[in-house]
Amino acid sequence: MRDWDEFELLQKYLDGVLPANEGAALEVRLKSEPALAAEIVRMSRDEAICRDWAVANAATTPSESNTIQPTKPVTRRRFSLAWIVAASVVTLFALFVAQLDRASRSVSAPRALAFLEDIHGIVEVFSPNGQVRAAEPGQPLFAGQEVRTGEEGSSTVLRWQDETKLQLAAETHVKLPTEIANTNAKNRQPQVFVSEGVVSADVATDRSLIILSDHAELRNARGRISFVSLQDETFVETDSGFARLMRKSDGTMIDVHPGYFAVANKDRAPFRPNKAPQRQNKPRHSMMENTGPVTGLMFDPEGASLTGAAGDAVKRWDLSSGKLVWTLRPQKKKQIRNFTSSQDGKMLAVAVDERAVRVFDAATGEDLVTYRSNKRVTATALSSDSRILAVAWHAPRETTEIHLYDTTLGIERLLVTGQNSPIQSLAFGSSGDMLVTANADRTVKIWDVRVLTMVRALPKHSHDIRSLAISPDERFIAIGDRVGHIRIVETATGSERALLTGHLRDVVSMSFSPDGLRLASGSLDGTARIWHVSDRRELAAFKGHKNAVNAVAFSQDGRTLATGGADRAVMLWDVLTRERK
Amino acid sequence: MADERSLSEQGVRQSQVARLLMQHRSTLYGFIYACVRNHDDTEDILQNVSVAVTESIAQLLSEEGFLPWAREIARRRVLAYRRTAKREAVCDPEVVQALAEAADQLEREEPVSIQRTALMACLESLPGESRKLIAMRYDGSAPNVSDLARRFGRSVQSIYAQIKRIKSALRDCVGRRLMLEQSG
Repeated sequence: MRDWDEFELLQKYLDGVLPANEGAALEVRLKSEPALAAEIVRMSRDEAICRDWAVANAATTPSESNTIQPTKPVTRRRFSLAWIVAASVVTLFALFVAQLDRASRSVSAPRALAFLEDIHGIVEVFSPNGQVRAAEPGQPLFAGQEVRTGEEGSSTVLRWQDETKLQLAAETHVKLPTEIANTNAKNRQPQVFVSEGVVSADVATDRSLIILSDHAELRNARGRISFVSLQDETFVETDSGFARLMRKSDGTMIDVHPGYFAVANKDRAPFRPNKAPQRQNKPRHSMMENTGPVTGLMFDPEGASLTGAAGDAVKRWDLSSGKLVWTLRPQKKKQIRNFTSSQDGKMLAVAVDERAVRVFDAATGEDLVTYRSNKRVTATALSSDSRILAVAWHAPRETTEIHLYDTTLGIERLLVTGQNSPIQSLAFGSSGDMLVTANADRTVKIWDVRVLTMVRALPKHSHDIRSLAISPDERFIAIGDRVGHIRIVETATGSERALLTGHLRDVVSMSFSPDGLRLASGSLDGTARIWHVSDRRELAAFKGHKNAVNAVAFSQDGRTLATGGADRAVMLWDVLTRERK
Repeated sequence: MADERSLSEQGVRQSQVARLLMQHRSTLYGFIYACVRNHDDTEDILQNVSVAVTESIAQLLSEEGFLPWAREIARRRVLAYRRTAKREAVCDPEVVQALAEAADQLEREEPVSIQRTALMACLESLPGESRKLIAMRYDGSAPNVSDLARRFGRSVQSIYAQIKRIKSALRDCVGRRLMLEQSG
């Protein structure tokens, strides 16, 4: 299994664009890390194969390289009197025509159909002629152009002149229609084709928007509507306003009113609006974090404050006043990707520069201890009593190790997993004796950390695992995966007790309520949801974030859910007092 | 008569060398490229290695020993190149040694022949835009990422992100193919 987080570093080294000091540091590592040396040889070997393939291709097919930015050859022309006269005549004629028909000339000029704004992460604009450019705020979009957002955290907004807006979440691809001749752009109904991904439309009630996908046509969309285009189906949910949806496979048309959703696919199954579980669109409280995407959250045991990772900072907010208590910057100008906290609220840990984990006092922000390795940290977990910090260290092609650091006694123990693939998620049970690991090879294992042995290996998961949570009584493990499913597995037997479906994309964060009855989940589909574990049903969905929900946390009384998003927002939701808007 | 036999044996030897060089080209290329990180220089050194291998093939006792033997020649050629190269990008001898050892180990554990077939098939199945990017990166029309970024009108960072995505997809594709082959 390759280590893709190191890919960029190694690729830049091979391309000779790594700064000299970083290149020298990497070469020092190459001498002492055989696995890293093997990785770079493997990449070089692939370079050789790719080169052979590309050269063979170039020999058999005409090169397309010139179609990217066609440049015409510059030819020297001899100026002759006849040529000058001819040019003058043409110019005068052109000026004459321009004077006469200014209006019609303006109609034929390309007009912007929409504009881009609020750009985060990687957003690219593809033109019909093959040009691809990084998007810029305010950039006009013309007929036939496509917009693609990159990985997690990337997003943008398409705004039409009538103020209709379409929010694109990460990994979303949309295309504007090709120009319709002699159509007045001012009167044209905004239209967009969603090839894949998640979009949210915000359309004034006296306007309308057409949204298309492979499976559905959404006509006369008004209000706030979620539209998710997946490979096999299209999902539409109306939060407010109105939507008329047509299934392309048979032309059936239905109206989707607020509080309802519909799924269109190729099947001839009944196509009808379904009542959506309870939805909440406005949080009790919301705050924007300018430091960056929110990647972790924790309540203190009294519920008086909230601590979270946002961008390169860890912050603690006083919930009664909304003011910042303290701010830490464990690694400047680098997004914190790994944040963990103890259930007792006393400690938090942050992975810094990928090769160290720093532990902080959650109440004061005091820096307590730093653990380092020459390997890369892939996952961390703190036991509920703050006593043990588990860190999964990984180096390519080496057995993954979990180091268990006793934060009070300073003792370090080693749990050898016997697996080469990196651990992607770690979670402690409430007793502190049980540790659950989820690997990149889709295996989940339960360990007894007292004796450093594996208790049980769960059946291999069918999809990549993105998040883990253990119920407070340690009876259940929740496993969130890449296709939006959550599996509830019984710890004692390893048998699956429930499959919770509803999320449309990766479930990246989960948290059990303190009473263990409910499970909160956050997803790349931009929603947070609450599930009743034993009833196997969705209780509510919270739709306030404009992008992935990276973090969810219950308050100790279970009445408030905090969510943190890639849109840099932290939101607080009432769990018990929610009402449909 | 003896001369004729000698010439015939020489011919067999040469075709054997050509076959072995072709068979292990990707492996040798990969090792040299890891050391010098430049495709043109890699081609030059590989050419020198081929000449040296052909000239001294009589020293080789068995085909099994070809790759380590040829790689040792390649290692020496890389070091010789380093002494004369104007570029400072060539690795120091200790790194070259580490890469040689890693390459030996890698070839034992993951022979390039299997990887090559799978990767070639996966490259063929790339969708249009990705295929164009990878083809331009490797066919010599845009030899480095800065050129590629300029040609596509994108930032270097964006191109790296795209290449990373494509390579990740290729990795998945190669993994699936290898798994299918193993199970089938």
